Amino acid sequence: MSNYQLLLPQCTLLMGVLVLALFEIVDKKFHHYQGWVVHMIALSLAMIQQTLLYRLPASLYGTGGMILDGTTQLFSLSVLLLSILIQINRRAGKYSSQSQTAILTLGITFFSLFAIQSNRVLFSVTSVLAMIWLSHGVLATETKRKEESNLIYSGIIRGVIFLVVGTLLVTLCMSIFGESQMDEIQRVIVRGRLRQGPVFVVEVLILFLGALVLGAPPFGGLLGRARNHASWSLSMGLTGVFAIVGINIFIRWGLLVFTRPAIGVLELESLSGWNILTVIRVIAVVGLILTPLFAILDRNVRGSLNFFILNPFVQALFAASFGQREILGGAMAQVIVAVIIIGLLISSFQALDFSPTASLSQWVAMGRVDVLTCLSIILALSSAAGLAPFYGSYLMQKTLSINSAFAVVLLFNVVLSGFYVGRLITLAFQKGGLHGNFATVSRSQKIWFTVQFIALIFMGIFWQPLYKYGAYSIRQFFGET
Amino acid sequence: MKLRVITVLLGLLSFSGVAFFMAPASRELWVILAFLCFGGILVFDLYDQIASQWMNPIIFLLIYALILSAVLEVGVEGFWRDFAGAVFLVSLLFEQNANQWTGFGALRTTLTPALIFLMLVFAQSLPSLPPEVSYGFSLAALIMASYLELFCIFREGSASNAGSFMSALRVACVGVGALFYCSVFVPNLAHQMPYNIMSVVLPGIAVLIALFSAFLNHWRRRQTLFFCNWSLFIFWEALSGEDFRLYAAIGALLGGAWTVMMTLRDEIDPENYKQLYLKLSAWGIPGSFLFTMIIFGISPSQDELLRRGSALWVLSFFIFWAGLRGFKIPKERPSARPSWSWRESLALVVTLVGASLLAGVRILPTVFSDIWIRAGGIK
Amino acid sequence: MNELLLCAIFIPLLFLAPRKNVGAIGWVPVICGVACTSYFFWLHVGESTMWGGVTVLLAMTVSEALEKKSLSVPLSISALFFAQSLLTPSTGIVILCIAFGDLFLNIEIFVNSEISEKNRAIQNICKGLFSVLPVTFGVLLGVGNIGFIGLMAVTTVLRLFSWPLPRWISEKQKDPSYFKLLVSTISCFALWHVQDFSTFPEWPMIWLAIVALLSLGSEYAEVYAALTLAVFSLSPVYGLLGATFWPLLVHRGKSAYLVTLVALASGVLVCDVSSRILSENTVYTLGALTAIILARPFAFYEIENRLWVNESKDIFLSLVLLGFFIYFLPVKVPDIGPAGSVFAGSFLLSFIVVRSLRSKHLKFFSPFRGLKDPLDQNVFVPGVKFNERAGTQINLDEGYYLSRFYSALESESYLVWLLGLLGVAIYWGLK
Repeated sequence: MSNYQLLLPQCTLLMGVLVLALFEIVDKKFHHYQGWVVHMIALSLAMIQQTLLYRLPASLYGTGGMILDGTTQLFSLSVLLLSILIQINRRAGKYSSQSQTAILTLGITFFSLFAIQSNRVLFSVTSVLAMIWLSHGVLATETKRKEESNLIYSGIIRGVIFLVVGTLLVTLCMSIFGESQMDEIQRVIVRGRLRQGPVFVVEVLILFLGALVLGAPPFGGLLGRARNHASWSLSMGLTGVFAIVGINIFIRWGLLVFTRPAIGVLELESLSGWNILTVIRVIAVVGLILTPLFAILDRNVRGSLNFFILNPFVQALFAASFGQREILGGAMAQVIVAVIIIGLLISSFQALDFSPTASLSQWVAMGRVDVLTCLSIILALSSAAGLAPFYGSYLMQKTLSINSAFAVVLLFNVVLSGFYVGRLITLAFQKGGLHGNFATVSRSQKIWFTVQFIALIFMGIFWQPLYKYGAYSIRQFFGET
Repeated sequence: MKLRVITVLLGLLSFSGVAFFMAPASRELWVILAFLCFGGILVFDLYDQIASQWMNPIIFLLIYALILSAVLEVGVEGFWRDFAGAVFLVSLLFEQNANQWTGFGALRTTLTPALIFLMLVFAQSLPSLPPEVSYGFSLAALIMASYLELFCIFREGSASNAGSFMSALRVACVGVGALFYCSVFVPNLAHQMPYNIMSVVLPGIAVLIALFSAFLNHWRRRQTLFFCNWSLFIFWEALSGEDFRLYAAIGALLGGAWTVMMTLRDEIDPENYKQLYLKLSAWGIPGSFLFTMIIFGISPSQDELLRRGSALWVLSFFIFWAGLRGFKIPKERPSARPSWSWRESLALVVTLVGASLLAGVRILPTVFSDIWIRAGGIK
Repeated sequence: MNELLLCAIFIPLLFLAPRKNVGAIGWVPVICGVACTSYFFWLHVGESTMWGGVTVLLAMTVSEALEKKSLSVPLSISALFFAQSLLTPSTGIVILCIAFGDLFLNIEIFVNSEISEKNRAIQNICKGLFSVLPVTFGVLLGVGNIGFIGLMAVTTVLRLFSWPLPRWISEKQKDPSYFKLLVSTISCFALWHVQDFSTFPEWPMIWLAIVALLSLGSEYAEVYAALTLAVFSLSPVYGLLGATFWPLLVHRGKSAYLVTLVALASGVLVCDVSSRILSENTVYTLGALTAIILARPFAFYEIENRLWVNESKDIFLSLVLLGFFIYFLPVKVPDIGPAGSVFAGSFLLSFIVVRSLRSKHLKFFSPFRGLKDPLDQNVFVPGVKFNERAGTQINLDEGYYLSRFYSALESESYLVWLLGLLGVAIYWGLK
């Protein structure tokens, strides 16, 4: 197997970056539509290539620094899909006329693929650092001029903080395991000649990084206030991209390295003395409570949504923390659903031209203005909450069927999420004066929204293909080829 | 408008066709029952509520798809999930199509019972719960779904929910769900302790709601609660565990869902007797479709608790009928005469035929039982 | 054959009900009803309780039709349902037939009322349902014989008597005939004719006492009809004989004296038979008291001047019915015992006194005023009404403290705090 073939999608994206840069150098004036087309072609090509990479013989232990198995494939496709959805909604956006935005956005996708597919901790840390800096750069391009420098400065600080922790992790890995390659680290742990203390520190650092990148409360802060004034596509889209990378860190660096399939059962058991599954569960439990709670308390629509779109990821993390084969497959599929949810939300809010600083008072009676778009938003949020008939409810039913005391927290999450969604639905159809000017949504956009939310509902009704794909993605880890 | 009507009609037929061909033999009749319910709602849409805007037919079809999916599920978990989805979408329709209101509160929206329903469904998945508690949750969920509209009864403009297609959808969804669950998954639950007490508890709840409705100042809000009680009546019949009462429940389901849509909303014309008959028929007075179903449903039984339950049901219905004493016929004819189309005529014919079914009170249950068994019904 | 199946044939003819001048087609349901009823006669010729009451009902209907020289379709359908109720042995079916009979009767009232009075018909439907509630509960709960008879009595009181509660059917214009009352009576007779009173021989005397009590505010026609039921519970044959005089109740002519005489005979019969079951002193005391009270309504009514032709027609009809029943039924003339004599004497004495003092308008002899109808819309109105109301407004904009909180979450220093927590977690874990 050749690692170079694994880099095909990344090369395509790099080519896209170079072409965009070339346009800027050659043409005096940046043509938005040209840039958009190049961006879309690069992403679409990368998506196709990534999809076709499944034909390569896959192995959990790839040679060198890159890896491709079911989970990386799923996460990579999710990131590319989300990037495409972000880019689709930037076709006519007023912010997207800046060339820097297109290049930086493509760069974020480029580095996110590296972060997911890298087999070495060092490469992943570097990629995530690049993602942080590029994200702040691109979000800064969509704010006011006088805020740009503050945001970039903020981004640098956050990146440095991440780098500190990441460097500490890499150093510890090298010193303890003699390696920063994931599969090699697992082999060292399996041999069982290590002291538990250092292994514990490495686990804690990995979980901390994962939670930080995922952004689930109380571990938010990597993107910070940069999202407040940017476009809906970048604000929510980048939140989603980071969430996917964060989940990847939990699954690949945490679960798949520090656990192994137990003999005789389709379940994971911890390799080290410290049960990492329990700790992931605790992190997920805190996230299950705080994510909807922070969303409820935040009266700013953008702010609350940036919390709430993490809810499906946190639910997936909670499900995965039990380490059961069946539930883990369902949790993996939830990531794909979350991407579609974010895509629908982006397109709906972008179409309405909803102000980023709008509070709930601007949301009142929104359903009387444009019922279809409003219902698209509501149904997407219902899916994010895990309400029936969406896919999340299937995952929750399966998770609840595990005999665990933590299941109560999942019910509490449903209550809070349901309250959040219920409040939005109730306010959307109330009597009230509207304080904002909203754009008229075109017919084609309405059809696009309808198709998306029908797809969300049918993914909930016909959940079997999604679940099978999720289960397929983790088959190698449980010894199935 | 025509395009929307055609779309929903085609959607209804195609979903039904696909479901029918995919269904095993024992589930085909359930697909037909769902088709009759939802098809009737569409046919008797006298005021073109469903086709008034695009979201209504889309969500209508989604709800129908969920109900079909629910009756085709093999496992009870899948059934509850699909059912919860249908209930959620129905509550969403209530919010979307309601008259504008003010204020916020958990007791001013139909989403609260829909979410409680979902919680009860999820809670059933907890393996640490004993079976009795799990069954109790499912029964509580069905009661909650029956009284979806009770939660918004104090909201401004809630009177407009009476006779709306959302109300009919709720009756249809809860009716099909309750019938299917009771007869397929828990057919003998009513004969076990402590569930047999539901034979009296459910009608007791209905009596309380009927008494509560006597204090509401608008007859349309009382009618909303009447049809909530009707859903509970269907549930009670389905839970009874007696064959003829199950068939009566099927008839009550069709009668209830269709009658909601046949409820006329126009101002009364004292010279238009057909209109008056349809209006009063929506209350289940003698000579109406609903009255026939009431009689079939409260047929005497050997079970002492069921007999008491039947008596309580009669009491609850009577309390609603007592509210008719405030029925006022205007002294003059309205300036705008309501239109009378083929739908109103069909509604009248169906109501009369339903009323005349009472003539077969001794023979029809046996005939229907034969048809059900020969068509490969559940027993 | 299912009795109700025949009734269902006529339901589509409801379309014709509102129109009076329907021509020949309006006679179709009547003719079909007569044909079906005749068929039932032929089927149940040996069961007098089945066809006897129907014969009386048809006779009253004919009397009314001849008087008014027209026949209303809803009224004829109503009579048909009541006729069917007399022919069925099942109490549940009887109740259903009564409900439908009431419905068509009220359709008749609705059609013939002015617009401002049409509400009454709808209220009557409600009241009619209320009146059959007790016996319905009895059927549904499977109440035992004595209890069921009690519930049936309550229904009879609600349907038949206008005191203490107003009768279930009300019209603004005082109908000069008691036809609708008698239609209501038929429904009570239908309920009574399916019951077995042999296990409760005290019942006729008890019912006589109840009737006497209720006669304090009721009219003579109501009292007579109730007395017929008392006699029926004694013996169906005597009950039917008493029912032959119901056509005389339709109008308040001089034939009312004949009714008084038959009422006297009914009371005598009940007292005589009861004296064989109860103690003599009880029967003498009860008989005397009930006779004194029962005589009041018969003595107090106002006789109307009617054409002798109409009077003769009613008397002739009753006599024909009487002769018919005597021919077909095994009638035995009972002996009058001392208990019956006590009743007769008390009744006659009371009748004469009240009749002679009637012109002085003494309050003592006037009918008692009844209670208000609890189902009247103006009587029972809940004081508390749950109206629609505006909901609680919530703060939809971000407050100061919340915005500070979220700003803190978004600041760089928050990450530093998280690093600090990380350090604490590592330290604690290692320790």
